[in-house]
Amino acid sequence: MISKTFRGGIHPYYGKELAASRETEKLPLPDQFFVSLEQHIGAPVKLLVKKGDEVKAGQLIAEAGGFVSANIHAPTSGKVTSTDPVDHVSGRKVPAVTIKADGNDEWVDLEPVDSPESADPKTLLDAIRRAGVVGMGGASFPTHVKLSPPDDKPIDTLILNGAECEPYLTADHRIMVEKPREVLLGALLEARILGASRLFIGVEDNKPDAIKALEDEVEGLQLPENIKEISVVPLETKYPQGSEKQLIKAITDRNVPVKGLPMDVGVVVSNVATCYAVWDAVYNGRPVIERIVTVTGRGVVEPGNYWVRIGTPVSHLIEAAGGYEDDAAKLIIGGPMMGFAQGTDAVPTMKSTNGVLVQTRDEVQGPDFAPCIRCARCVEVCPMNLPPFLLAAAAEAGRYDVLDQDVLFSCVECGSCAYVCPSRRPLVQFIRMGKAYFRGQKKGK
Amino acid sequence: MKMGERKFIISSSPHIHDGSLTPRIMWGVSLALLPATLVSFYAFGWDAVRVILVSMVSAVVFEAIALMLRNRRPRQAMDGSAALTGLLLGLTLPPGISNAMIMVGTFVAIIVAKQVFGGLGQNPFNPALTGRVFLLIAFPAPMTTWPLPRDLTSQISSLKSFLGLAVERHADVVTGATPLGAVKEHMLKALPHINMGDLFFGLHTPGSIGEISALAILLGGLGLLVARIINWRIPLTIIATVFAVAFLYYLAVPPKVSGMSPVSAAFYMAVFHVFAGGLMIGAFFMATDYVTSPIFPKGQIIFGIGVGLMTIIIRLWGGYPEGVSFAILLMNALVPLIDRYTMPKPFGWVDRRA
Amino acid sequence: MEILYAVGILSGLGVLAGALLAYASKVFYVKEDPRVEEVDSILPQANCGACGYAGCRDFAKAIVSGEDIVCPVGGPSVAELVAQILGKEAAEVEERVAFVKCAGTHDRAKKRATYHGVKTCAAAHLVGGDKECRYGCLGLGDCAAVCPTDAITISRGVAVIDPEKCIGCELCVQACPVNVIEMVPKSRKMHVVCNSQDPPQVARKVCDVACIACKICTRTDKNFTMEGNVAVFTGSEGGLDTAPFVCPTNAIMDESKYRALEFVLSDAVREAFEQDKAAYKERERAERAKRAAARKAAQQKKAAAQAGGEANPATDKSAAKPSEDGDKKDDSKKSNESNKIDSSPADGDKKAKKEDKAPKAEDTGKEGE
Repeated sequence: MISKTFRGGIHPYYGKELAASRETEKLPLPDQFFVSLEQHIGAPVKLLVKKGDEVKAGQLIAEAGGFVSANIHAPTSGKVTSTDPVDHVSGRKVPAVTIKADGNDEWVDLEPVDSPESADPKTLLDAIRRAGVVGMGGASFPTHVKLSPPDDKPIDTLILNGAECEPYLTADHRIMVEKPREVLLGALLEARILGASRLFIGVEDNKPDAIKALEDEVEGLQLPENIKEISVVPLETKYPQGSEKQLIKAITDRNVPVKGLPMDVGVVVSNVATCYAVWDAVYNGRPVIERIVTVTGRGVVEPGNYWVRIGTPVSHLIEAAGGYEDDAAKLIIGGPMMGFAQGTDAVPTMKSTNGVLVQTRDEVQGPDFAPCIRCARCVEVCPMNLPPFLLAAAAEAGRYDVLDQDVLFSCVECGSCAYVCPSRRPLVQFIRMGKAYFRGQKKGK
Repeated sequence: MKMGERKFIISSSPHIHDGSLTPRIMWGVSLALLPATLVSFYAFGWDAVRVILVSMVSAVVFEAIALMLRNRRPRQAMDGSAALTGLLLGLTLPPGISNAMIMVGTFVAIIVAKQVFGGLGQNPFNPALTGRVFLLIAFPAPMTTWPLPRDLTSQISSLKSFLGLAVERHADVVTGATPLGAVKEHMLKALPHINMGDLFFGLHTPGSIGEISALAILLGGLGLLVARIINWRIPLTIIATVFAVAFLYYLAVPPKVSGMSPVSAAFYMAVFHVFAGGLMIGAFFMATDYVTSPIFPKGQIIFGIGVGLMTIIIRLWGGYPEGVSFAILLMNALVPLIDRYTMPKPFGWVDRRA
Repeated sequence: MEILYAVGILSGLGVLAGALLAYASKVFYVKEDPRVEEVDSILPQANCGACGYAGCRDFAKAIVSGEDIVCPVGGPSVAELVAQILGKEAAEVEERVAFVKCAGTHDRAKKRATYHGVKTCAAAHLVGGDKECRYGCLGLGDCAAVCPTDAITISRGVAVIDPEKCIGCELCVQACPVNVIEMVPKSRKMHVVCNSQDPPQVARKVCDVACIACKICTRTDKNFTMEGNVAVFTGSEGGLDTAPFVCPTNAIMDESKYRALEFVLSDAVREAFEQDKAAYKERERAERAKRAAARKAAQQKKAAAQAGGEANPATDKSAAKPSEDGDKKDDSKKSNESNKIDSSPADGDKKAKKEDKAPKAEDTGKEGE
């Protein structure tokens, strides 16, 4: 068994053992939910409820504000107590619906698609759109948009992203082990919508149980006619193996062009958790109001995986995981490589929240950094073949004029460069500064 | 702990690090120079101790002063880079050099070559080499006076001067020519007298205190390679280029060595050029200096070939017997240009002209 | 003898080269409008680029070839001089300065986290900054770094701009990632020192000096208007003297009384302001009591006259209100006048004015009475 991979990348301490073998538990409902209205990329949503309204679980509370947008549903039954902004993962405060749970968890009537195996793609797409499915791996791009590529971009390959290369996180791992059938059925739906004939499931080889579970399921699967090739592809355990372009390179040896999308090379990549959400939306008619979240790190007492309703405050999750260790110092939504550090645990979970990581004091890097000594390590590890030290130096000096925007925006902010920098330079932050500068310029600031 | 009240640390991703640290790399390189340093102590005794001590300490002191003048924390002088510069400079000096000259050398290295350009990471030229070349040009005589290693008279006088007992050095120190100097001056007549084993182990040939033993340098260089502090590209291409050009040259101009076929004589001379002089220390420790060498793989190979070519050209046709220092400094000047033209294209790059 | 040759040759060369140069300068002379030189000599030579040209000379060329004379730094005086040279109308230029709409020093604005990373606002803004308020000054000095005249002081987590040093180049406005710096007329002497669009209940929680959108100032002085959740002073000069005192969170600054630098950063000045405010409140209360008493007396008289008419407290209040407002308007007129008188010598000796400040505050207070 040869594990496929890409050029560059790093081998950090993976920390998966903390939560990988912990069966996913249902998290008890909190008293209060904060359902953020910024949970996807695209047009902002239109709020449908107001203060004082009674809502039920699964009820549409905010409607997609355009094609590239996604519906948002109430996570449980209760009363809307406020629509004021609350903390958001990005560090800003954004509008949100605060719901006081009544504890009954009453659901609206769900409308599953009849005989999904034979339903036409349009019906399926519509079910996915209504359920508000977005990319659950972190990008949160509306799935129904991703599944409707323009006619001049035929798709022949669907890749399921089960690499989960982010250290510590095990949410995707657990869903592959616990719900392999649902994930695959969801994937087959996606493949049918896209008209893809090949289906690959890329999984890093540090998850043999997930590979085994999926392979067993693939064997017993009744393949629809359109699928000519299906296989589980073991990938080398290397960060950032789960990065879209790197995954496509490793599995199909196709190069997604700079500024291009996977569909430019006939590929769509879908996260395994997204596939599960697609299955749920089509087979059960259930909107995305729940997902698996890994609570982990040395800063929490009992790391584990939980089925969490969207909008649950992180503090509630931490409580379920036994609370903080005394030396907890950094709270990160997402993994340690690309996650967002939070100032407060009042921040709610979102559709794309796959993990909550708590680091202890001694795991946290100090704020100081030294000048670049041109050791070239960042160049060596950059999966996008960029010169991170140069991009950062230009941004640090404010010399944005020397930056080639195509090169700068090729950066996927995977963090490999900053991870290996012996001068501890915050290279990713510098690069993000550069990007922010050009984005601001575009806006005409 | 009350929920919702904690103030956490926020920062940009990533939130983990592999633990590497610049000072650790610097001290690691210094550690890799330990074999060469020990050999120099063994071969030149207290003189070597004195040269290295004065060189390292003065380098760190100059660095601290410069940092203070630049409103930086003088503690940064202990990041190992200045000490390494001092050590490298010391190792490339002849054992009999005076303390004042060493300090002039470290002044040029730290202040002129490094801090004036903005300190660590900003210097275009290798500081240690700049210091050494300055000394070589400013004080040619003391810089080319080579006492024999393991020479008792010299040892005793050096101990005395180290302890401050003798103000003036005895004039009866036995000096000799370095192998490269001998080859340069007497052409090939000197050749049969050069023992390749001496050159490799370095205990009987005169030379700069740290350059005499190719073996010691090689050990440290391998250590750097194994520790992944440097990669093979620069040292290997330098050595290969020097070897190849020397071999071809001596095939074309065969040295007459009794009992050797022209080919094996050329081979002998090529090996000689690899082990002689400062090539080893230059290839493994000077040319690989992060700050002054190219960053991209292709550039590193171009740089290595360039250094190798310059070195052997100076050695065979130039006025100086040794050319490594000049070669590296010359190529240092080309690094920005090399970097510019060897920058790799990003993943999935589409040529904009297409 | 040889030395003479050397001297001779060199002198000869010098003469020759000089002649050549003189000749070349005649032959290759580039005709430039002499007015460019003249205009350039009038421009402030700050070379700040605020006009949109690469330096003053470039701008001078543009002016001569017909561009409007809009030099934000030089202001109307320069425009007039330039217009005289070119013989055309000077474009209206309002002299403007940059102003930081935030007084959220470390002790007043709540922190939400400890920030580790690049010490610039642009970088800190990427992770949301370390203040609970997302509209406030990040205090890492991107503005100060670009300021050509060192007019910006960064202290205790906020930037404060000295309007006397500010040349209005707007570079800081462009550098600020949170857009907390605004260009205001240089003559404007009253400001709301807050930029928070947070809803009142949030703003109140995260910062002691936040504008909490209570709108009291807008009712007190018509120069104040609401822009979303924050009040804004729109007058071109000073406002009602008492306006800063009605603000419950002290988010209004009267620059004719306090220098921005001191009002935001100095605890002593803040204290002085608090005292003034307390005194004002005291007077207000006394006034109100007096008025109420007068009203009561009047009412009693009326009641006595009507003989047995019942006095309803509700009608009492509604009757009281308009009269109070009327009083206020009178007040505002008075203090506006006094303000004008005060500010005229301000252009002259600033230091003297500063020393004057404390007693002046009292003076105006007395006038108010």
